[in-house]
Amino acid sequence: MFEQQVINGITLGSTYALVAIGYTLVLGVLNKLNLAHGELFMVGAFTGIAVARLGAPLPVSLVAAFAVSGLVAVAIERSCFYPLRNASFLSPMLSTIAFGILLQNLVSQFFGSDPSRFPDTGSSFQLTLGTLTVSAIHIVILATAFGLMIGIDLLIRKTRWGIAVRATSDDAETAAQQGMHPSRVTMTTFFVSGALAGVAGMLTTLVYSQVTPHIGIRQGLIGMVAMVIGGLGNLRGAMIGGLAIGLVETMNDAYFSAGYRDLVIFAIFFAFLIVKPEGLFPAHHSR
Amino acid sequence: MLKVDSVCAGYGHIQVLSEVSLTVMRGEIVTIVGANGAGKSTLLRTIMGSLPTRLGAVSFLDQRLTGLPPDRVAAAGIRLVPEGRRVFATLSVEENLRAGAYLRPKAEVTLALERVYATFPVLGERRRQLASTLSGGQQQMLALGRALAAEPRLLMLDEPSLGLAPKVVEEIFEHLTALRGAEIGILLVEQNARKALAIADRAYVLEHGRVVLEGAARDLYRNESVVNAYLGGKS
Repeated sequence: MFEQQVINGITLGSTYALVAIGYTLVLGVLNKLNLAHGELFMVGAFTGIAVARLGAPLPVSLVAAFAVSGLVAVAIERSCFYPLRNASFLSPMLSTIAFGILLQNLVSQFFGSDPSRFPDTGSSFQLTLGTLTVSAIHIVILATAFGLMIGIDLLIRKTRWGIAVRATSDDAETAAQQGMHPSRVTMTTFFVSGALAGVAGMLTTLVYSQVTPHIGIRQGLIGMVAMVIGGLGNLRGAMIGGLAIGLVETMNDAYFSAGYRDLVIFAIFFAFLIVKPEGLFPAHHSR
Repeated sequence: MLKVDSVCAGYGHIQVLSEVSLTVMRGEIVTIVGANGAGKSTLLRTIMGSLPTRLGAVSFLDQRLTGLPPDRVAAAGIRLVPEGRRVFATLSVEENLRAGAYLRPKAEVTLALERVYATFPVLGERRRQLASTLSGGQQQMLALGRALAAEPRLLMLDEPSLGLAPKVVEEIFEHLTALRGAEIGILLVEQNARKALAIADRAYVLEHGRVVLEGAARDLYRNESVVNAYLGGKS
């Protein structure tokens, strides 16, 4: 039973981690928060549902969620951040909240505000390991989420693009003086950040059969909590923070009471803010 | 190769540079001498495109740079070793050099890094360390190495000796002298005017954002008013 909850917790947490990574990436390059980030999760969820309703197989839904949420994230950067790049840090917070509401309303227009569901995948496959049962859906979620986490970690650490993102996060003026194009770095970062959130949303629709156009709000907050618990500015910290919250949530639901879920998560969040505001894995920043 | 023509620049309402003109030729070391706040750093940042040119023009190898953003100026072959070094603290030594070689074709990057390691062996020994763990002198070597990894046509340095031990300063100036004569032009801003004039071919004296004197470094070194104002009077 406990092992089963661990698997469930890691599965759920891996989707939170994907959301938290996006916050961390954007916060890194712009030093600003994208408060419409949770809505990219929602857009991914509904893109996946829309594509699946057309009869497309699961991988197509995943790719569509990846691409559409990525492009919406670029639109957010171009409309909410770039024009306000010299304004107060509060301005893009307000503009992204507005953009988020716009997205919620837009999706409500097409799907209604009642819960939508992902069409039945028709898979009844289950992997049984002793007392553990892992459904095909769980395997898809775990493989996709961890594949993307390892992928983004490698991209950031090993590639020319990753060096440009980290250099820009570190010192944007000096990075530009090396020939790194600030807008290109920012836009690609937003794309990746949105794409990961979109995939997380799409994956979540597979387990929680019903989603509304308002799920982005909680997802955005949970992603932010994961980022803070993991350690601001640390990509791997964000991943671990996401997994930890997933575990806490499933354990709470299994052994305590689902009704207290968010109370428990946000109590932990406040405890971190007071006792360990730098998070579990503080980014080794310019000392 | 570099031509700065009557450039005005500044921050907000404050005009820092007034009609500054200067040139740097291929293979030449040119230094800008002046008191704190004379506008030396502002001039380098304006050439680099990090600050807008309000009036006047900057050109480099017959290419107009005025109004270009820093990444385009970098692509034209200019690198700045900024004041305070500004190495990427959260990147390793090697990643800092790779950032410097960002615009170079992939096949040339390895060779560029090897050249930098040959020039600064200490960077090779510490290639995996975070730049923030280096000493001040090593960080200055890294900032210089990062610029050289790009194999620039024009190298600009802003106060490379600031806050460093005399022995390290000596070493950095040796590296600069060793660069002379290559195809590279060097524009050096330095508070240590005596040292800068000793290795430079030509010099400009900047005062309150204006060029008040220019000439062969040797002549300025002997000029009484320059000696009194910037070299501490004794020479």
